[in-house]
Amino acid sequence: MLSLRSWPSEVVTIILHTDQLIINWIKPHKKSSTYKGLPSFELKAHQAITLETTACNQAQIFNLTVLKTHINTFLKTHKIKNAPVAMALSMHDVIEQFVASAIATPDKNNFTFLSSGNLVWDYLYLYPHDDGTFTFYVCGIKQEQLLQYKLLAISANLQLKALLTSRMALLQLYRLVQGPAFRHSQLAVTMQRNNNNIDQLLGTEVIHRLLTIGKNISINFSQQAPHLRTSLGLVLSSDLYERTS
Amino acid sequence: MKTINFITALSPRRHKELTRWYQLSTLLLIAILAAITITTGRQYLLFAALNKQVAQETATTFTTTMNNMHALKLQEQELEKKLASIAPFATPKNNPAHILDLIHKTMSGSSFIESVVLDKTTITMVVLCAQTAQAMEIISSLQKLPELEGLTLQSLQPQQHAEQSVVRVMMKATLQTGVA
Repeated sequence: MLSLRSWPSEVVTIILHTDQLIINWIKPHKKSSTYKGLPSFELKAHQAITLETTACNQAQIFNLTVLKTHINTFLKTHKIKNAPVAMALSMHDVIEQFVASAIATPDKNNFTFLSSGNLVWDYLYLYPHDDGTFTFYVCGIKQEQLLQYKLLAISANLQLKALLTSRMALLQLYRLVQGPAFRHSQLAVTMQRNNNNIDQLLGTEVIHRLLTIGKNISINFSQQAPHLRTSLGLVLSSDLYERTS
Repeated sequence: MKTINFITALSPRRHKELTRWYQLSTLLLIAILAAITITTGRQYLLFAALNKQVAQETATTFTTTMNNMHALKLQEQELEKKLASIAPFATPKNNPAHILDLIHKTMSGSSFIESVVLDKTTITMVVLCAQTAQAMEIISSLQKLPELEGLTLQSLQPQQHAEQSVVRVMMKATLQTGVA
């Protein structure tokens, strides 16, 4: 049923990272100046929950009811209603690979190793190589796992608008931070310098420029920095902020 | 660079549009229902008021109408009683006018009835005739009438009437009631 309340200008990001559930409540920061044309945000609430082994073990979710309880508690505590939700997964449920291909513009049939299973998957062109091949980021999730997350959103009454991988969110954040200066070749250099570790593409400077952390929020910044970057990537890449602000 | 999103969700803009559509539709529906309720309610109240007024008027004239009805019933009963008393005379066999009419038809041109005395069972007639033969014809004609039983000649005498010589005939008979 549709809500009678108007659409709020706020986003809730949920990150599932190995055995951690990170929930952030982010709102546009109207007073701050923009950074490279990007809007700035304010972190209104943050919670990092370490999941029990019965709920999550070896980066695999076994009990979505526990997640639902944590999410609902967070939303209820901060009185968040009808906020669009973007979720990022960094679990074993998600299959992620960097694939080198000789075809610059392949279609899905070229990645036959993923199309055989019951996966929902897609690929993204990243950068070219000197030898004429191209690197693609391919990710997929099993249909039943995807259904679990959809059921979680339905049962927790979440307005789930995006379900991405954490790497996808970070890649999008990188592209958006680069803005018009984004080049695939530069991405190749950066990726190779960081051993294809997407988490290290952007430093903490981006967080300071794009996100204002609320005064009353206690957060271990060094530990949560990757998740904050992922949250920013979710908000900016899932096309929620522009329409809600 | 495209975004790989595992789900196809309703966009916030579309969501907002649908929310607004839902709100407007609900408001419109409520407005229509309210308008219908108000219009119908007013008509129903008017109908109820008219019904009440009619009932009050009916209750006001009810006593008068009932009194009139009782009076008319009494009059009808009285009329029925009177009608019952004269009903036997309404039939031709008991009607004196009928008997007189029969007697009158037996009279010829120069004879006429002088008097008729009628009581419950007998009838006495006095007839003036020009001649005796004519008187006999009248007697024989009257004797043929089933309403007159046992017609007998009581007297036959000549008489001067209006400077003419006539025969005065007196007859007597028993009235036969129940003859069709």
